[in-house]
Amino acid sequence: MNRNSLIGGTLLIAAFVILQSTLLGKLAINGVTPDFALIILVFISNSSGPVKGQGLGFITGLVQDLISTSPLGFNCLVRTLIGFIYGKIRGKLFLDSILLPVLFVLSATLFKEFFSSLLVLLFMPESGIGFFDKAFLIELGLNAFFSPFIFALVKFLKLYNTNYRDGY
Amino acid sequence: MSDFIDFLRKNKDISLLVLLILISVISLELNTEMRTFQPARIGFSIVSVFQRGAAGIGSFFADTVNSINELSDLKDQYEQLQTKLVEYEEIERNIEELKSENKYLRDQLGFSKTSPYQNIPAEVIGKDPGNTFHSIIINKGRVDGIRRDMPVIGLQDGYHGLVGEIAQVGEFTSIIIPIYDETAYVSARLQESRYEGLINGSGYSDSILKMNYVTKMARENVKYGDFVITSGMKSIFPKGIYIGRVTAIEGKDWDTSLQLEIEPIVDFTKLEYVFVLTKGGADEQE
Repeated sequence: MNRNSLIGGTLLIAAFVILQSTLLGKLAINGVTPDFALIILVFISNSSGPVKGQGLGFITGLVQDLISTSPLGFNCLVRTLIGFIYGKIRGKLFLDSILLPVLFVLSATLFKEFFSSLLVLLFMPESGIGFFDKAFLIELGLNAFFSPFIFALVKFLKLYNTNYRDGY
Repeated sequence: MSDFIDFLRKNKDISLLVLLILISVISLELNTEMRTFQPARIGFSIVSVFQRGAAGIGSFFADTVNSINELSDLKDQYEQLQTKLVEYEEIERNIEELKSENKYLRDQLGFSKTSPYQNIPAEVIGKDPGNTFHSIIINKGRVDGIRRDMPVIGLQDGYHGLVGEIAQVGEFTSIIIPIYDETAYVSARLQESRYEGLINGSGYSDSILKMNYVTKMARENVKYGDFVITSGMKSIFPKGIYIGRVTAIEGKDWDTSLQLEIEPIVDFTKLEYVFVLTKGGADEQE
């Protein structure tokens, strides 16, 4: 991934973070919206490796922290880790159109919930914020449903080399 | 030293990960202790410009799509019936819609002018992009006189209901923590029987609120449908603002107090306009 595509990826995810808070909120079920920014981050990290993935996760997490009531650094850390994890498995698996995007995004949503709950436990133990509840299950379903479409959209934009394979 | 630099070069991804984690953790540490840390406010102000832009563009496209749909409906009906009568009926229907919208906006405007509270009307332009934290974003900010901790109310079905409080202020937009957030607590009172309690959110915009610490003596006097209002006790919220209605009363024999379930007056899923009360903000003089 060159510098332009890194900037492109950052702008794309940042745009989706802002859209999630405005227009895409209409897709909410029981007040829970799909996390398009996370889906795009997973795709880009898996196409670009751990360094770019975690960098992108950090910057876009920062954008999300700025327009949310979350403490600054919360989403930065969660998304940096997710960018790193999915960057590390770059080229290890063949990315098909449906199954792997769904599995990647399901696991990423699980990681996000796990890391978030850990941070709340460490930094905001009195907050009373619930995890692994009904909202999480709805988000899991929504993210999984939208993942093949979003992967296809980002692939269509041709910002990233999706044919990279390790070893052969 | 050169060995260390060589190590960093060889393990670029791990080194960057450690650096980014460090930055995030330091930021978290600072922000969980000092919620008003300046970089967040500055950053929020910058991002809020784009957010307003996105909301504006969204409204433009939504209006355009609505207009096209409306025109398409008119055309279909005209082609099916070929009579002017149907066209007039459609126009009349539109007028009725406009009248209804006009009445709604007049109600809002009327409330804004006649309300006993000094207020700043604002439009809801967004919500929290994630699902862990809950917030409502409005199109008024520091330049409009909004300050942190100001109470926010909404007008629905003739009642002014509590929406939440201002948590963060940008130059042109602000963030509200709604009362349904898990971190929101409101000192409340049953309007009729005058018993007090503490309202806490459940984290869902469409679900009930919990009213805790209501004395057991209240059991005989609390009825389903009773109104719950703000008590004004040691709170940033003025006294007497409607919060919701009692929908369930719980209290085990071994509990020392009752727990009431409250249906909020404000339906947060269709909240479009709010009023930020300018009296009572904690940092009003800021």
